[in-house]
Amino acid sequence: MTNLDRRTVLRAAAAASAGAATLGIAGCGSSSSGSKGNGSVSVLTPVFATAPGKKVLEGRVTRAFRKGHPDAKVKVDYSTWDVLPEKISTSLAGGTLADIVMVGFGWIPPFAAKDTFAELPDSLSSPTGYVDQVIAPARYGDKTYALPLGVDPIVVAYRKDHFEEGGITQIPKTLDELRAAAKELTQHKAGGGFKRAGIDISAANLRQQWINALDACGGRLFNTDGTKVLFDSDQGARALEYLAGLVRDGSTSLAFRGTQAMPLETLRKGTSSIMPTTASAIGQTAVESGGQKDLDKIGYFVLRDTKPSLFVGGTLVTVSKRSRNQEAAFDFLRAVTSKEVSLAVTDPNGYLPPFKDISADKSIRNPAAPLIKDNSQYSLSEGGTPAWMEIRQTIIPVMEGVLTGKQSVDKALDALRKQSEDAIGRI
Amino acid sequence: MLFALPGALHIGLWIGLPVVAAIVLSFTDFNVFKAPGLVGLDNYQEIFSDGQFVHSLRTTLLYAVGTVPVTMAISLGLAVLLNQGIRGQGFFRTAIYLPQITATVAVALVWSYMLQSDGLANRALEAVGLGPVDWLTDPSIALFSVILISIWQGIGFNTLIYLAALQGVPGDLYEAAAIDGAGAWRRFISITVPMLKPATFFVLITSTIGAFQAFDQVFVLTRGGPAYATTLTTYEIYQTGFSDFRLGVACAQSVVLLIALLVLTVVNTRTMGEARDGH
Repeated sequence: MTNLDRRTVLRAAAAASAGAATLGIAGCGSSSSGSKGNGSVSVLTPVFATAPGKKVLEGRVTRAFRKGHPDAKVKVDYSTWDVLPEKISTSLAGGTLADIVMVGFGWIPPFAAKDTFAELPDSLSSPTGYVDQVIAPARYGDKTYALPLGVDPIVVAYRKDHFEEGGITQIPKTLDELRAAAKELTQHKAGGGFKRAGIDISAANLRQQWINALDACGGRLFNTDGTKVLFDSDQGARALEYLAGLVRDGSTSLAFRGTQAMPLETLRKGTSSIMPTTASAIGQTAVESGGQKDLDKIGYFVLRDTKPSLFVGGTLVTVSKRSRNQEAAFDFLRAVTSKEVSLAVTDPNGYLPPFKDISADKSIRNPAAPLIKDNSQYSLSEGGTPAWMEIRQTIIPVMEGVLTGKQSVDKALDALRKQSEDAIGRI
Repeated sequence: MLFALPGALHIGLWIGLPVVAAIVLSFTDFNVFKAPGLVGLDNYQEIFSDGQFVHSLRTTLLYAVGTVPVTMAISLGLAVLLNQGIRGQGFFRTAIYLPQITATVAVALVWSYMLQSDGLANRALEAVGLGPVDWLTDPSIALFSVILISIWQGIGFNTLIYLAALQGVPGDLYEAAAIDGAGAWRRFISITVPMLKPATFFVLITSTIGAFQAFDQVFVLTRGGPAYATTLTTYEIYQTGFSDFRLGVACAQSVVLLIALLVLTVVNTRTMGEARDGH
């Protein structure tokens, strides 16, 4: 068989496999597809799925987009963060990736390195008015591939009344102080279990909490071009040891958690005293409780050790390189990332707009917004290597091994380094 | 011939083609970003040198050993009880079958609430003076919890099969045995169990295949954690394919799973088939 023939066979096999996968998804009524002709665009989004979000996307954004594309249709595929990689991979394999794709911070280098997303045109590639640190995750190399829609930083929420009762007068300034405060505030039931956990670590992603602590210790995940692992450092070990120590001290456990349906649940009920959590959880609670009164007992601070660190997650809007309507797709991207839309869609969901001048706007109901604005210079986001999509999913299981006492910090970091280097080696 | 065409088309298009495609792709570096290129046996070498995949196979085997025999034994017991003409039989039959027709995702969500730190299970333990158990977050207990839930959900279907088979056992066999002085246990061992061998064979094969293909409960309950304790092979394949975007490797993992299932099915067929034929 000649090389050409062999490639043809393999392409056919790939197409058959992808076709089956895509048709299977279509059978579930949730397919996304690229669009053609007349400026119509398709959108794949893990945000906007709430009723107010849909209203904004299918109303205001679509109307603004149609001013330049009157005959265009907008087809939206609402997804969740959990299944977004699956949606992207199956649609890529089937050649049906949506024209506009919304992804997380850290996702641009892996996809840009594989030529999946289009570089933004000159008119969009030097965005001004954004908080500087939220533009960095939209870049790969010296090119810009996306614009941010909203940010969702992690802050540490705490019960002021518990701190007062416990005689803790100052906000913890190091990881050791935070660990000691959590231990001090913990109350156990006589038969085991928590009457009050000193700290609830279930409200924010465990991987992101480690990266947050790593940064606070002065450590980094990777080198600048993402080709070398740096997290297997003393700082990486210290950050992991901090989290493992919380469990070992009996201040929390992996099992301790509230229900997903109620953000900040354990903190509001007083069954926990400290909770690293996302701004969106705080914002949603503020919106749902009709203002901040319900949250008066809760204060917020930024994690710190040798320096303060504000972990920032969020949503980036990008355009598929395979889009047949790139011009229209960029127009849609422009419409959906406008300040007006950003504010309309982020606030009800608790996220924060990524713009400098409205990041602590008075109309924003998120009580953590001023703290986040004041600490924006300490922002960091995860990722930084084209192998991030592979590496990110290996971190939590390895951390769980440490937190449950099944593996030592050193062995865990060593295993993680090896897996990461393998993934980076495959780039 | 014409009557067989729709079925043949269905099997060829929806089962045959993807299986052949998966086998072909398992020898490539297919990753959705570029056209696949042949890599020979590299993917197979990688998955067997990758402790994670081997660990997932071992976990799946443990899961199958934990779910299949227990589910079958409980189902048989329940089927025999339901076949006695007890009062409220319709209610009990419905109740036992209900978990089977409830979406696994919904079932898993409810169980996750029941098994969380202050959930129903731990409150029940607390009421009798026992300490809380980390049902889904302790690596040494999590797989047991998933097995427990799978047993609960799998009982309905197997009970139904056994119940249907029990209806076909001639009553005069029991009468004759009773006249000969055989007790209930002797009648069960010497009549019911042998007469149910075809049903047992069917249940064993379908349960084993089901156990090796279990995915939903792990996806919703534990995401394969904690610390890979509940990473079944299907979940590992899903992660490799859809999170790592390494579809060539995922296809190789799928082929290995397919071969493992074929081997198990052949072994089951040989052993159960011989027993069924009275050898």
